[in-house]
Amino acid sequence: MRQSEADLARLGVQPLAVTFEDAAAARAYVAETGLPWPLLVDTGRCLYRAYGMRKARLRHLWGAATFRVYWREARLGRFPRLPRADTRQQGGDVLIDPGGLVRFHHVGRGPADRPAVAELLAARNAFPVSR
Amino acid sequence: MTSPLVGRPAVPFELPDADGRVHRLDGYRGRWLLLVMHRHLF
Repeated sequence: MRQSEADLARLGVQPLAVTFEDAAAARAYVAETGLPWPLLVDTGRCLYRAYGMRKARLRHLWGAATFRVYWREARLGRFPRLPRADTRQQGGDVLIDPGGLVRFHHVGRGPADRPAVAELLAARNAFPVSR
Repeated sequence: MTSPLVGRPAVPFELPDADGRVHRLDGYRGRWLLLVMHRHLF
């Protein structure tokens, strides 16, 4: 997603990251990664529940696809660490239009299940870019 | 398969960011917004 920052900006899309972890973890993450957009803290997981992001099944956490993701990351020098938070919480992506309607919604079943950025951009591109 | 939430109103929120600044869905009205909901951070 970070690599697509320019595309999102060109299309006038404001990204907001969301975490269920606490503010201290969020601050540490922003400091370490230099995340260029706000990271919202939803410790009550209200948005997660509202968008159907629940507990991942173990087979989606530890399947071959997950190992492929971690292998790909490791080859880029990004090695996984022992997680300190709930590893079963699902994540996902929600694209909301200027009128407040959901235009794209994806629940990731596990670490390997992310929508292609092209898919997100296509959902945005289905509507004209306002100037 | 298209999610049944597509075309439905987004869920209102009022949440602080890592610096304590509060963000509301209403504050982004008139703009496209992408919520990137993380699994665990590290």
